[in-house]
Amino acid sequence: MKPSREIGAFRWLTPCFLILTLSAPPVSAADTSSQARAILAKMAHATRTNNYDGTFVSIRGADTASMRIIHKTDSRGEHERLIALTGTAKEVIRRNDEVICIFPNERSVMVDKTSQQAFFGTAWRQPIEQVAALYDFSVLGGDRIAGRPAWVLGIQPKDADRYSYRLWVDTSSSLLLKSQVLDGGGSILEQLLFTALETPVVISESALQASISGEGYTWYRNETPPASSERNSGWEVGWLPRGFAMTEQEMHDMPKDKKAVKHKVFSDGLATVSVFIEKNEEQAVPVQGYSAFGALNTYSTLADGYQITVVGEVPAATVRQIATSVSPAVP
Amino acid sequence: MRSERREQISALLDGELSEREAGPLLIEMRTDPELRSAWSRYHLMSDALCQRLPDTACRDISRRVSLALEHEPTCLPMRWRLESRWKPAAGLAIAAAIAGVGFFGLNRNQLPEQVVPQASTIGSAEFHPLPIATVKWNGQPVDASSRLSAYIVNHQQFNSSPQTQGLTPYFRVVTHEAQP
Amino acid sequence: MGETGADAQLVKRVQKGDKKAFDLLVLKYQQRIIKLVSRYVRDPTDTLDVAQDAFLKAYRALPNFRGDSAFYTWLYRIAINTAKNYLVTQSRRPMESESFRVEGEQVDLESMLKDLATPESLLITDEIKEAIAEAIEQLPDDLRTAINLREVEGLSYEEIADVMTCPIGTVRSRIFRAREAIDHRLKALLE
Repeated sequence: MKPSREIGAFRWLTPCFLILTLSAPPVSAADTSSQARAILAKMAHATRTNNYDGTFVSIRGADTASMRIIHKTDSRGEHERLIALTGTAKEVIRRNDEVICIFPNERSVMVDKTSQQAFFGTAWRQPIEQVAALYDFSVLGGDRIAGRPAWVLGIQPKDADRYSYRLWVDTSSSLLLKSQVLDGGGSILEQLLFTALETPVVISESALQASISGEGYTWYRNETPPASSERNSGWEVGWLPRGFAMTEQEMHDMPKDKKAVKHKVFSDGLATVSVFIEKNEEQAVPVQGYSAFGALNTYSTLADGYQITVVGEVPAATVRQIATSVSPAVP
Repeated sequence: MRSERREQISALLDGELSEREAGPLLIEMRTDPELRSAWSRYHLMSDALCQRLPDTACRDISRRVSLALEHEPTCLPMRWRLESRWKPAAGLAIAAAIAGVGFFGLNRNQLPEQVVPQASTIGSAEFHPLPIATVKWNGQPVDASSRLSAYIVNHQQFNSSPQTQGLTPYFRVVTHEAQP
Repeated sequence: MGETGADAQLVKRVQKGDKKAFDLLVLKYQQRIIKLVSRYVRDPTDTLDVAQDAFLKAYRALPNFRGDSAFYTWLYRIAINTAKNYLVTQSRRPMESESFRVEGEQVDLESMLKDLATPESLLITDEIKEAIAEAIEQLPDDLRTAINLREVEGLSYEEIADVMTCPIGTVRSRIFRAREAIDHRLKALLE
């Protein structure tokens, strides 16, 4: 990969920040809050509008995985490709909101539409004032990752029901270089780290073609019906951490018995929690108790013959509290 | 002392041993068969972890090679520089697949008839259609772990955490491994 | 640095006249070369011969190795050519398999191959992988993470130190201790 031209768009910003950090009087947390949020907004925007080609490692405890990402934006929109470099072979190709996931191991391909398109250019699913009421943002300093100077940003929750984050953002391209999810005790639960990153001016179409044709594979499409206008549809989530609101609701139908899996998504603007409600068939082995994968916690329980599972990047105690508060809605 | 040498061998294998340390180590390795065995076995481990072993690994052909080399003239010293900046991480081919639980707990014995879909276009690129089975995701829950796996994957697309602000949420799908 | 850094140090020494340094390169790449050659060559004994031949050719050609590609890439090409040449010469030889057939007797090909096996003797890859996987499973988390990040993810010591937020010296020590623990299991298998 050849070195590329610097993305000129954000360079004017850099001198201002350098002045900020080099100046003698101590900078209070409040001062850096708006700067931090501005950098994050730029990062979200840069992620969707720049060309980049990089390799990164995802670390959750002793579990590691690395992948390559190639991302291109042009007049047609976004086009990206992710390739698993370790573990089971997998590839994902996304064109704007159409996603194809290829699993050569399973000889299957999944086609889906993502709702993330609504995100374009903005960082938060909720108005920023609401998010700022739940988290403190700050610029912690500077660092170097993959040979690039980066801002180190901190996002600290105001209560113990959620996690904190540290992000390393490239000062010139505003792309994410490294991130960490930390728990209340300061332990790192998960990390993402780019080991190589280029921002080529041109990315060829061939670089974004899947290396697997999917021929002879079984193709699956997510047949989610449009979101139900009926908000509760039979179930109520009694407790959620402060500031969490429902953002999505989906139903996945089982072909055999037409019983639905209800999927409700809640977010505080940063962290996301999913609640799955599924009728428990006698033969099916129920899921019980906790599971943890890095920063992702799950808790499952049975209520009224239904399997309730909560999944989210929030502490274990939080997913449990949510799960145990789920009950049939009072008509 | 022996253990210090072995640690140096480990570092040399990773290309992280300085010239200063490598010199005396390589001299000692010329005459110490145990150090050479350590080098050989560490590489065997590495080959095993990176799927580089043949179906039937050989114990050691270095002895017969060095016997053959005895009849070869020694290299004449040449003066030029080696430049190796190759980074193993970028652009590697996808690693060998490992069999595991069906990713979404789909019961493959119950595939419905194929339906021929209409072609769709995204921008100016044609999205090639193949017969798409109309089985929905989270089909038949095969067992608890695949259910959980399915939930997790379905959750990931809605992940709005700061990490996915800087990266597509689908990276989770790619890095996720179905837990046994 | 990585893998190619170590190669550079060894190749330099061979080119300065140190034949023993070449032994270390053979030990390092023998499995990979054998795996490569076995794609072309059926007979396991011939595979070892062809692999040996490839290493010999590489040694002879080493004065011409300029280092503009990685050593392994260069060795790889030599091995493929050697294997292909072998196939060409094989096709010119009369069929010898007939001579193994004995009238009326069952021919146990497997045991015959075992007899033909060289003193180097063969190892079953699955056993090795299993032993290593077991050993890794039992490693404490910090050692397991370190060896994973190095071998499987290909990170440098410096990158691992960054990820595990510890000094580089600790990374080097953890990787070494992981290897020693695995070696304990491997040695038992190989002896």
